[in-house]
Amino acid sequence: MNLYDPSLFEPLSPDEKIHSETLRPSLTYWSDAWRRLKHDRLALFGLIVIAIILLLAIFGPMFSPYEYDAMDFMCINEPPSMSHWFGTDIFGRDIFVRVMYGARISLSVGFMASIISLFIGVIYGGISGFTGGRKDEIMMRVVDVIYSVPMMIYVILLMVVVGPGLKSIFITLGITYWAPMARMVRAEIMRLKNEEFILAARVIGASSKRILLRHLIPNAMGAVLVTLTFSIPGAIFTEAFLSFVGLGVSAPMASWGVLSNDAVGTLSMYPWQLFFPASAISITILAFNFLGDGLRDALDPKLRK
Amino acid sequence: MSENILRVEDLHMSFFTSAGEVKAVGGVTFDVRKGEVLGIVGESGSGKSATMLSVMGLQGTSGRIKSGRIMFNDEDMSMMNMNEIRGRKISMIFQDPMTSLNPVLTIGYQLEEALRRHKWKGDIHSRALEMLERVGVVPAEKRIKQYPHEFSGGQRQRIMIAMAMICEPELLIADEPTTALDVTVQAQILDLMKELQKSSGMSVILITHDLGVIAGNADRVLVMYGGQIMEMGTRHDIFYSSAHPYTKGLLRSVPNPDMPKERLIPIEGQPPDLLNPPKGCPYVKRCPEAMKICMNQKPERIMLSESHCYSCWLGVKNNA
Amino acid sequence: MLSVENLKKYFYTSNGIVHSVDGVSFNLRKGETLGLVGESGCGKTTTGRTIIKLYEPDEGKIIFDNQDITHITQNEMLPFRKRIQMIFQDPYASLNPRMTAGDIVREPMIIHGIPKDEHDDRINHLMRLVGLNSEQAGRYPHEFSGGQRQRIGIARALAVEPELIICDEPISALDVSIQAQIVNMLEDLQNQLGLTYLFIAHDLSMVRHISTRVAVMYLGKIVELADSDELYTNPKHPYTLSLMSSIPIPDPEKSDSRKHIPLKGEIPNALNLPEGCSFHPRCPNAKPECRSLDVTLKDIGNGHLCSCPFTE
Repeated sequence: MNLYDPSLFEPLSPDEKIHSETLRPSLTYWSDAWRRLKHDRLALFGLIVIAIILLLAIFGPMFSPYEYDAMDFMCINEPPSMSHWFGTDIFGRDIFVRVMYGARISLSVGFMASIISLFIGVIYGGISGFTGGRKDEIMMRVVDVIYSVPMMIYVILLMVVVGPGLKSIFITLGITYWAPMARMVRAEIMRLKNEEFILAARVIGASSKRILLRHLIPNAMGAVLVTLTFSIPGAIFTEAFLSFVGLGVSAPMASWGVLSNDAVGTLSMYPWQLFFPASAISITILAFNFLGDGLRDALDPKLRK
Repeated sequence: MSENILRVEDLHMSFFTSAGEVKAVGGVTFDVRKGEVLGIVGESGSGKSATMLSVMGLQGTSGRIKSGRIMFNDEDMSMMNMNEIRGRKISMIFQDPMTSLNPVLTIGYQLEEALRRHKWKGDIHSRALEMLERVGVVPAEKRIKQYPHEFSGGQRQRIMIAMAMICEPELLIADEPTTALDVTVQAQILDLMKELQKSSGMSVILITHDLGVIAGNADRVLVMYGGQIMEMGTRHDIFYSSAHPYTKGLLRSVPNPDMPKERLIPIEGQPPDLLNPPKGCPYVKRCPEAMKICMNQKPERIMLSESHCYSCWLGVKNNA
Repeated sequence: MLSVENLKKYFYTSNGIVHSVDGVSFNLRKGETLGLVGESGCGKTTTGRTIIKLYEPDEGKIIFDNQDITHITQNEMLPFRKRIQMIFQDPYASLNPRMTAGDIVREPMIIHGIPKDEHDDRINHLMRLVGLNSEQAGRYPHEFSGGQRQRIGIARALAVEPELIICDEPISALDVSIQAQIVNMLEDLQNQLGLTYLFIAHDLSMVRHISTRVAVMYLGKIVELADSDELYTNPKHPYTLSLMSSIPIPDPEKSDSRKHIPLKGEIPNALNLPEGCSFHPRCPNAKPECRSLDVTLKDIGNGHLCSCPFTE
């Protein structure tokens, strides 16, 4: 057996063994999820589309030579061209700038809804799920009631009191949008609170507040984020729909719903006037859904290894 | 026809995850003889289950066999239609019987379904009843109409065994069949499996992490670690004259029944990271006798006797 | 140090009352390890959790260090939480995945008001005590292996310098080669820190190894309790006998030569307990009178307690 160099058969020193221990870089929960999200092409596409829409909504109108409400009767109902990328409407307003402006309204409605559901929904659902018993029962029946009243009733009531406009849409969303989030968070908390690490926290004497804020809610945040991503397109669509039927934002404000409504009358002659705002709605909703799907997979604890 | 029912040659299998390639099986060669019980012992991540999933063609979408051959009755399994083999010629039972049974169908339906799928000749219903009786789920006429949730864990495992054996397979793969069960029930199930194996003459691959289960039930034993076979031999070879440092360490780390209070001798360190496996022997970081060569070169298989072999550089050193 | 008297804990479910713990009594002496073994559903985990007041006991008494802690409020319990700690079964579920190892060990110190400037030193000390290095304190649980996570769980329990630790199946989720590491560490810690353990497990050979005395539970009751060597060499209760004969032995010849006493059926549902001695439907030597027997633990010599009156 002189095939092998005898020095190879010398024992390894303890140092060499430890040295060979390769440590993988430390990954937090979120960076691990991000790593997986990056591999999901559809989700990444959704994320990029949302980023572009966001940038266009914030900065787009600044760089446009046109104002969203500036009428130009010299060029009404023009088809898409180099000077007016999306064409113009019946008052000669540039549709491109109006669609970008509409993105502001749609996205702010979406984010408004998500902030409300985040704050009210997470805290309400968290308390309900954590206390359990009778309190939980009552809190959830309240959610059921809010859930069971059709949204149109809120809208019509608010129209009477506040009048149509962005404000009544915000209030409507504020009343209704936290309910599904509260339900989801409650279910998540109910599941988590029987995990051993919660028992461990109770054994070391952690207070209820501490258990809820330090242990339960941070662990529910993944599911919260997914629900949030899926609820934003719902809010955007609700606003578009309400504006379309005339219960929301009204002219000259340019929400995507208003733009679609304006275009319906002239649909047979100037189809692009409907095409662009309708596409904007579809693409945005699709992008959020792609992202939500990707997030759900990336944050799924079962897939973590 | 050879005396081997199954032969696995230099099997390499990996799972592809977002974190990278997990080399679950890295060059495994062994065979299973007709009518024997082959025990495979290993800890989590040793590749014992992954090897068997490859044999069954159940490695899933993320798993891929990279190289190697699997021969069943001297025929290459990659040439066969796995749907006809699975359940008919090779059956498998898993650790958790609840997840393997469909909760909305009666067990009778599920048993008969297995027979129908493989075009059983004869009365399907009476065959199902016969199998239930053989595994001790009685009274069979009454129980055959019940749903999985109406049975206890041990009975479900009995039903799984009945289902696995209903088409008289030539090979039964039992992947940790008793790990989820209590000791008294475990003993019942192991006795049942032994008895069925004797009466039918089939081969069994028994996968477990429990050395005691292996000692009492296997004819030959395969010790796996880090996706590779460390040592292979009869159970006497393994338990009374083990050669590989890992096998020795494993046997030392359980309490000795004769000296129960003696301090245990654990294997130090942690199991290997399969995302980033050592280039040489997978056990090198925990091995008390590790040498320089173990770091970079895979050890060769050394025969100690006709039945007993191990893969370790110590053998080469001692021969030299 | 701890004495449990006729402890009962029932769970009220939609299907009826589950008699999870049904009259358990034992004493735990300072510095000893009492093993509590039994099959799943026998109530051993519930017993542990009721003692540490994760569940409110329904009947009986828990006396710790001469103080009755049976019905005190969670606030009154706080000083006792510093003295009684627990180690959990599942090393994956028992650590908060969003906290670093260091923060997990720090939390009990915050709750029990240990001065902030001592925290880091203590964390470093604890990490080394359980065989981890202090640089690992900044890592998250999923970056550790099962055995290392269990070490973090132990460090958390030790952070408040407890006297009694309830070990709820601390090794059953670990690989064989790691189990021995953890058991040795628990033994070393016991010697160094003078800890008392209540060691709950179903692995009978490990329990024999680590325990001074062992109690065997069946359907919410202790059926036999004795010094561990006495219990394993001279078991009296038919259930213990059968349990002992079912342990797989890692030795082919002994395994083949051993006689195994099979039990009929499986552990019945704790919803409707059998009358009399709850073991009689499965007992190999059941007699007609077992159906109406009032079973209590009786001393059959040398502190060996057994609930079956028909032992030789």
